[in-house]
Amino acid sequence: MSRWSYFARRLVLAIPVLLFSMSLTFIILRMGPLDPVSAIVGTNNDPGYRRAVARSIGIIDAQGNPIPLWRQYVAFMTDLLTFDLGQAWVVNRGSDVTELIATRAPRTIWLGFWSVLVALLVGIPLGFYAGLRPNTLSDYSASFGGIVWRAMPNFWLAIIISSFLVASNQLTGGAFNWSTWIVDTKVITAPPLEDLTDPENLAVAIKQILPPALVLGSSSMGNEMRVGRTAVLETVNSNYVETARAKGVPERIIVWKHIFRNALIPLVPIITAEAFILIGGSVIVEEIFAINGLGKLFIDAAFQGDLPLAGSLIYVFVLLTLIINILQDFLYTLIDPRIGYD
Amino acid sequence: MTDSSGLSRRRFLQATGGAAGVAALAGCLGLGGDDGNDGGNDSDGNGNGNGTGNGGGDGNESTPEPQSGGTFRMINSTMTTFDPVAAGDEASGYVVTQIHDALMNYPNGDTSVENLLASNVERSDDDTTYTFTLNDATFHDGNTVTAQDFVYSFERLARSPKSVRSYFILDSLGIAHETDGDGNYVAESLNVSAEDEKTLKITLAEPFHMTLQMLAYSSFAVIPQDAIGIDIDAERTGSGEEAEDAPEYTEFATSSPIGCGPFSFDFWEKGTAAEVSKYDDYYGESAYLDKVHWQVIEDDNAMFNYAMSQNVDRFNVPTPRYDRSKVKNTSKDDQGRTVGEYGPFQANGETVDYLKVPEVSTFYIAFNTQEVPKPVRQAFAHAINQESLSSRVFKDRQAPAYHLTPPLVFPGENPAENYDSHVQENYPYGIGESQVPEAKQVMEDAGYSSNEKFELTLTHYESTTWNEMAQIIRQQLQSAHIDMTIESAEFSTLLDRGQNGNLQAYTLGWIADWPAGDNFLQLINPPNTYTGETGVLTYTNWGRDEATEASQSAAEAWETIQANPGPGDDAEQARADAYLKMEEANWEDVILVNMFHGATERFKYKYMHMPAFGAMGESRQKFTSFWKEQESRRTVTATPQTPANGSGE
Repeated sequence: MSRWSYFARRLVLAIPVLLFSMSLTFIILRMGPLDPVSAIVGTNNDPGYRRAVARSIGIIDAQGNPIPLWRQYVAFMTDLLTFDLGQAWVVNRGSDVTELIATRAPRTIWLGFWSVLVALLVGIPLGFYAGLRPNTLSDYSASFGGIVWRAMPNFWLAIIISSFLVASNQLTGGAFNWSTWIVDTKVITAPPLEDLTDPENLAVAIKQILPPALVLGSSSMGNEMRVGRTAVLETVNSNYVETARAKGVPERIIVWKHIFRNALIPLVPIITAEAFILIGGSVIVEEIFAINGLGKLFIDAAFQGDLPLAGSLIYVFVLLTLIINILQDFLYTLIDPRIGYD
Repeated sequence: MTDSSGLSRRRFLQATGGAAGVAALAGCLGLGGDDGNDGGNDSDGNGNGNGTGNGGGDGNESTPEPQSGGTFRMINSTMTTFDPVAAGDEASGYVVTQIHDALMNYPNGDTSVENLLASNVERSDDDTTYTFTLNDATFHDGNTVTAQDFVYSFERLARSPKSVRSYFILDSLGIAHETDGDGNYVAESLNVSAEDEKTLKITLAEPFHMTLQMLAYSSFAVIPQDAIGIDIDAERTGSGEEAEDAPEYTEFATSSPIGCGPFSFDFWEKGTAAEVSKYDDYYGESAYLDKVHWQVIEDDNAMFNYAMSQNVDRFNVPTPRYDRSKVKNTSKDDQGRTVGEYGPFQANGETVDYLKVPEVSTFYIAFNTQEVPKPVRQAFAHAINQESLSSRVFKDRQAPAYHLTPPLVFPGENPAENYDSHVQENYPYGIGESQVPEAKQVMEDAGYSSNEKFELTLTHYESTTWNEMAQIIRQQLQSAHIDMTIESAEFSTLLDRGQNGNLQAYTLGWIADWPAGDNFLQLINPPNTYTGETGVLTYTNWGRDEATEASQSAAEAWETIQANPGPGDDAEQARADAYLKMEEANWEDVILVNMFHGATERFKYKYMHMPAFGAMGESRQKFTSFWKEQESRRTVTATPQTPANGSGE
């Protein structure tokens, strides 16, 4: 089978997965105990208010009769598949879902991008460094650091870091103030993301996203460090490296061409899997740093039974997951030609 | 059937008899002529000139002269819309209150009302027709506010598919109108007319003494009749997934709402921030502030940290970060509000101004009487110690509750004292103590023992404080042979399950729609407790299978309340007696265990000057008299970070 027909087959197989997960979403949100009307109404559960809300989001018609579920289901599926995402029911009631996603996605992407980058740039070099110097003091301290980072839960680390940065001036007796260091930024809330070509805006955007990105990337960083170290250790002791060394290949080439490239293989699924974790993990970090991105939007929508919004977000997430999965398998075949297509 | 099945005004409003409301009404009519008319232009003098460069005013502590300029910044939760008829939530309410004006107003959120857009009010002899003369106001787009605009706005409130408060105008206030065979409102049949450009006449189906209070709600605000530009019915079309708001409507409700309030709309970035700026041609006293900025933050920790970096001027302190020993120099005013200072904060060393305003609200644990037998409910009431819970869990920030009716609207001359003395004399389950032995006794008398425990599930809405309280109660109940499971649910699940009768015990609260006792006691009028019915308010099924003595007594008392709607002393006394009878009936059968009455606290940095708000809540306070010391803070000029200041229009 050629690479391209393999690719096509993977794409076709993704369709039932997509349909199944969308149906599941509908069942959970509309046939479970979640009631969007109650979510809007809150404590004061006045019947007149309830009815008006139900009518305004369109789950009962003007005469007060409920719209049958099957019709809601058909409309839900066709709208999604034609990318007509509709209007939200509860969260920012009545706004276009596309608009909500468009305003919030850049922040989540910016956050995700930097957390992956922080993890990659710190975790992998550190892991390789430790792997090339096994059982030395520097290996131990790097490994230990990796375990600590891996172990710290996001919600805890986020609170500690944000509280520390906010109080940095007071705690250091005026010696260091994070808010005014290099450029003026806030600790909490999303960074401004317009016109990033201006170096100052860019600096603000990066500085403000670094603390949450560090938190979000912390466990991945530890993971990559640990896996990178093991992978290097394994390849260092493998036959082909020994052979190369016996042939007199220079150490630099051995490290970069033989060890580094082979050690990357186990890291690929780790890195791609992180992309999924970032979608889920960003909820907590977005909440604590008040970034109000996609993660928070999704949680709000899901808890409040906002079918159009939660459904659309899941649809987008599922699409992303499928694409990344296919991409990952594709990457394998590029890095390691021994992996077949069957 | 829509209207007949809901709570009609007969059932839940007309009898409203809070002394506060009646007094306010009288005061309001008396003031009518000379109150609202002025105010227009004389405030501009000290207005724009000062700006940020004002270097004076050093040292003078006593009564500082208000300074103009600056942005007032506060935190808000997610807003949904700025269309006055579609906004039902508090977060949107903050913004709507600044943009839109109605005929009447609760000044600073107090429970009394005064004229706002109305310069004069006349009531006909039969008490059904009100004639309003309007102030010379203009909308933010420059057009004059006319009586026709009100006719349109009221029609929208009654008929718009986006309106969530149509029952306010059709049932609660009860403006005369026609209904079709199904009880639905017939378009344009509302008895509201524009006599001339400045005279508005409304006619009620029957007299109603809370009319002016109702008209102060922001739902009754005026918008220009051409603001949306499409037919009212076309604002939202289709149903189910297909339902869509018309683009013209969305434009009005979310990106260019037009009102005639003291601030005009600047921009709203959904889920991030909203901003309004001073309207210079405001017909009343125009604002000192240049802008108001709301930053959307919902996480407690994030809010607190954001405030600690002084990114906002007014904020809250989440209970885990709250230290009651830091509240100092407090005094109480005549409305029961606590004024003082709080601090210093560990994070920034600042001491801030503190205000605590008791709210007209009650939070309770309710029992489905079909599932939970009376001895168990009584054991709960015995075991629960409201005072120690409010002290341990809330750090005394909320007041313990014994009545469903909050102290502020309790009947009598001295509501708060009456409240306390009635509790002292009559509360059967122990005040300020946890009567575990009594609870055990009640259960053992009913045949339960350590081998035969009663099992039940308490479902609380998502809240760490309720969870903590539930844990404490569970421990206490264990020795009283009750095995309690704790479960938490989002509102979206909790209310739905309650409606279907699938809750054994649950927590919920009630925040006053109007400041009066029957607004609360309707919750325990037995017919309002039947699950599965449309009008259900608490999911307790009180006396549904078999009427008890107490449930009959409560039902009779409710009838008395309804039969005595008038403002006279006799009627008031009859209502007051009935209120007490209902409270005592609830104590007897323990339908609800009242837990605490809410209070709102406000923390603000000292450079910010803002009057205390009243019991109707901060979201009903207009920010016109707020001002900010100009030279004291770098943050005054720092524009809140938002995407491009120019993006708003």
